[in-house]
Amino acid sequence: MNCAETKKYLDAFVDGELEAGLILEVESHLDGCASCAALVGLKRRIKAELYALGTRTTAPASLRDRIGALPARRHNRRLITAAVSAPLAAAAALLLALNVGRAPAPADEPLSAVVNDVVERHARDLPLEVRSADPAAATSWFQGKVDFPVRAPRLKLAGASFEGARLSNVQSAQAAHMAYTVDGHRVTLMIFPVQHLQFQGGTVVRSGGRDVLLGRHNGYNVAVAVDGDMAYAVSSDLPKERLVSLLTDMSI
Amino acid sequence: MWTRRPESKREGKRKAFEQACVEHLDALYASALKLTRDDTRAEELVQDTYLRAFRASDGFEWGTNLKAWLFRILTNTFINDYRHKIHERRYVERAAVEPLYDEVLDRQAREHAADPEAAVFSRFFQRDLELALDDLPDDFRIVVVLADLQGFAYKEIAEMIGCPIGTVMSRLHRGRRLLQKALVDYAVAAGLVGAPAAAAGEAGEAPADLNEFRKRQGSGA
Repeated sequence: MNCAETKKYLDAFVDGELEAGLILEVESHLDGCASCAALVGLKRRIKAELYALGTRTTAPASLRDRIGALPARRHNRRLITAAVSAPLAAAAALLLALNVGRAPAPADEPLSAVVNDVVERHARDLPLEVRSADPAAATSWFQGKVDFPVRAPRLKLAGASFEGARLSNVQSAQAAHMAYTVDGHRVTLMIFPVQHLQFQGGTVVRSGGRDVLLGRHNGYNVAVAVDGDMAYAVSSDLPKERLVSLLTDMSI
Repeated sequence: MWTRRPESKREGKRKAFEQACVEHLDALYASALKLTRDDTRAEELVQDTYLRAFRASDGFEWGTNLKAWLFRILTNTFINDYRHKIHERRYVERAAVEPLYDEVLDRQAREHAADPEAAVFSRFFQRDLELALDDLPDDFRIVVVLADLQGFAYKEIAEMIGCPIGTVMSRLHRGRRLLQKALVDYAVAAGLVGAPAAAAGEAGEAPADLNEFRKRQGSGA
């Protein structure tokens, strides 16, 4: 075996995937060829370093916690089965179309996953990155931080105040997270692009000329409205009727 | 043993399955980091993987390789949902250029007969290798991660990414060749070895490549 022939087999050789007969031939060539032996040395060293790279990394504790919480999420899920209204059906059809040819095994994420995400972000009460009573301050803060336009809505009703905002995510989509207080209750509004999400249906109510989807998770209510390609989800421990009127009040 | 309230058999089985899955978290995360090259996206990818794995648990057969099954979900999720297809084309075009760096290795082999590669690549080898891995086109990086970081067999990788073993082997070969080339480039740039005496065109191309690479990585040469 000459150098050119040997080099064809060197990857399989260092991977231990070469058939026995060829191993002997490669080894006998390496005995007499410093150049090919050097190449094998380099390949082995690369392989060993990469293996070390794979074993010395530890997943962050926060990720481990989130994964540990996943099964609970699944069992707490309440799948909503009402008929889907027209604009949402169109969105769902588009999403289904986009979904063709994706990974085979996993099922797609229904509305409930969005609801769970929004509730989790709300329940955690994470620190705000911008604090202001003026929604306009949050609106300008978000410029350049997310790849969609964000306008922090002003709540007109009495007893409601804006607290601030932070960056967040819903499923794999970036989300603008807004915090309000309404009658002493924390209210979270998440604004995120909707094309990343699969809305598979839900309890739909009509309010202010808009369809609002309702969901519930871990004792919190969620109301979701879709406007164009953006979704607006509010979550709180307030009754769902209040959330629907809040969404309407936001005049999004 | 039986101090807890007995659970239903199905529930117990589900918990055992999920616990077994979580044992592979570090390996999945380490690979997700190298696939996405971004902490946040790596976490998202791993979380998506587990979400899908838990949901598809009925599709897993006990007694088969759980780690390979999880990595198949990870790889497919990455390929379908995470990688940037636009960048891919440019990288592949560049990857098609395979200058011969054997000459540098040859010379080193003659000059340092005892341990040629150690003499060339002793300093910063690990860091350079990581940078080079990050720069690999997705198709090559995926097989290198599966074969080298995780030690999967060719056959397992072929099943994970749904292509013939021959494709796995050729991607692995080309991916490693790019890694070798990058490491030689670094060694040349660091003055550890002389540039390959080959064609002037090739010698001129290598540093340009490297500068572009360094700029993109945001680290000074």
